[in-house]
Amino acid sequence: MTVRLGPFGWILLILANVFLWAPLVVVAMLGFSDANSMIFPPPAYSTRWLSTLLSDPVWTQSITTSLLIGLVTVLLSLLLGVPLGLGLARGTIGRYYSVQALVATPLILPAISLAVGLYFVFAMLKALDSIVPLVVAHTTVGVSYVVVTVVSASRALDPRLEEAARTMGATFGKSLITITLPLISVGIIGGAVLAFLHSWDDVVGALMLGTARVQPFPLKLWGEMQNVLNPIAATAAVLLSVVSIAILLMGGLAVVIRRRRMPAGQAANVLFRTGAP
Amino acid sequence: MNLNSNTSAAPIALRNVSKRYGSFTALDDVTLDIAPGSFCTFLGPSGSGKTTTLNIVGGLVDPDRGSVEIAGRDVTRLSAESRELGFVFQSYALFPHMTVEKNIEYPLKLRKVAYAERRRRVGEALDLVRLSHIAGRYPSELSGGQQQRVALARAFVFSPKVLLMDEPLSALDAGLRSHLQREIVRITRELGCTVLYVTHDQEEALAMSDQIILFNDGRIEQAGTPADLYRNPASAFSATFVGAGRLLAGTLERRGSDWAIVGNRGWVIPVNVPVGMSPTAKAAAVFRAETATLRKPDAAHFDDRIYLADGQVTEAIFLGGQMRVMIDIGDGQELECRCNSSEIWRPGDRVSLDLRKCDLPVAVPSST
Repeated sequence: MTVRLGPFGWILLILANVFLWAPLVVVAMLGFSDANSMIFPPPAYSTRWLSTLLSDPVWTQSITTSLLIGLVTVLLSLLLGVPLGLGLARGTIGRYYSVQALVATPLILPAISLAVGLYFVFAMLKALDSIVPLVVAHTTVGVSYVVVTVVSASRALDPRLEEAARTMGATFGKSLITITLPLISVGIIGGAVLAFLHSWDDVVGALMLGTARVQPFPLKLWGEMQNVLNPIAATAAVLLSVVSIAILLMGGLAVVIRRRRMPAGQAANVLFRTGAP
Repeated sequence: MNLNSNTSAAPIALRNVSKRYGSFTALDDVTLDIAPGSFCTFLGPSGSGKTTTLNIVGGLVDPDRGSVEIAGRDVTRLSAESRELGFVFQSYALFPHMTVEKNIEYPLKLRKVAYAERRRRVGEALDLVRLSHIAGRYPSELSGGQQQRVALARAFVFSPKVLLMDEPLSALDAGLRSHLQREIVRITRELGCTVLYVTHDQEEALAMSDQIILFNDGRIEQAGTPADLYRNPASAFSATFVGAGRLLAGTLERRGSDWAIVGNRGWVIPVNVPVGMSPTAKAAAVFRAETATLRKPDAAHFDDRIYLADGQVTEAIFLGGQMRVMIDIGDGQELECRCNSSEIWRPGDRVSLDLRKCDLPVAVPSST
């Protein structure tokens, strides 16, 4: 069914978009300001704060830290989440709502509670000054995202396809790699994108578990805002958003390509249906 | 055609196979033998055990008891992937992320067949199912009939000794079905492999099979050639399920040198009695729509016919060459007759029904 937008609908659509995009426009203008302090609207525009940021080793170090944490988080989330999601979608245990709710708990639980808990655990283990606590914190949430998207993709998968592959001589592993995983790839991509984006913009966990040495990008931005009021924080915010949007678009593009390769095939809206964090 | 060069058809044997699902007995002590190279159909209503039997042969379901032999080898404990069977599913189960070509190539890749050989065999399979022109399309871009033929090609491309098909035509419309029925028979004859074919459609079973195994309630009701099942049904179930026979119940009695079913209303229906049926048993005559001839009650009676009953036409449906005439023979009993459409009958006409002496109904045991 398609819904036609009346004039009222169009106005609403435009207002909603202005509301959503306006802050980003303001930040972008500030980020490319030529002024020495945050004045809005900026008197002139330049990229000097961007070059300052990219040549400052503290900033670049924080970007690398964030990318590294994100990458490890995604890998771990997939490693744990894909089998768990497949099992929940296929097995009898996945029929119980309580099990599904349990898996989704990290998504609902306040981030600060999780971070406080992990802080004491890793303090006991004397592992605070490393990326491990943050990877663990982000992976708990990342696994939940991957499970949700993989379950959703696997539900649309015909279990007879694997059976068919087996009758043709495929072992369990072979049919998993050649049939099942490609067919739920949309769910896997979606889960990976959501897991990365969550890790990439996490401040709450980083405030508890970050240190001077392990300082993720959003935490550095936060700290900058506390101390100095020059536009470099806004520049960092722009960079943070650009990476997020780029990752989302890349995920979307991968989904579209997969979808084109199997027209009208498996449900491919997993990424957008689940929504960005 | 070289596809069948390394195919030697295999005989299949099931020995005392049983399968239960909870308290439901899906299969109860089934024993059957299928000749190598034959087209054998498992026929029966849903829940009769035909698909369970197919899945047990295919290795998708483990039997609780009994054994399965393919080509003289006990495969009961062998997993599906090591049985080397071609399987065509009701839902086709084509891989949606692969083109037609890749789908057909898949079982060859699993067998690590060399690239050139793979191309050759996929090409031959596509030719055989007449789909070479759409090799590069995805399954979702094909019609139901085309998908079915891709599934068939994928099942036989690696030259399995046995081809299993689970209601492969049930999702297609009538015209396409009869076309594909002939296609499947043609292709499997060319391949020369043993075929197990599951269907609930008795016309399909009659049209395609060398051998029909009729299932009912997890047991084999009757096995035989299509003509056997149609002409010599062994039970009331066989008679009504195959060819939609109508049962006219009564007791079996000797009339002179012949046998007849004597009905409650004083009907006497001359019948052929199969060997071994006891004479006083409750029995029924199997009435087939095409065996009776109709005449006006006052018209002359032919010598080669036996009078059956009088009645009144309630409905006459023109079917083209044939006409389907429903005749009320009293007591609310209605018989369906097929006659040549050049005879013109109208609702309300009085008619007499005759049976041909050479084509008498068969008697079957009956519980009522």
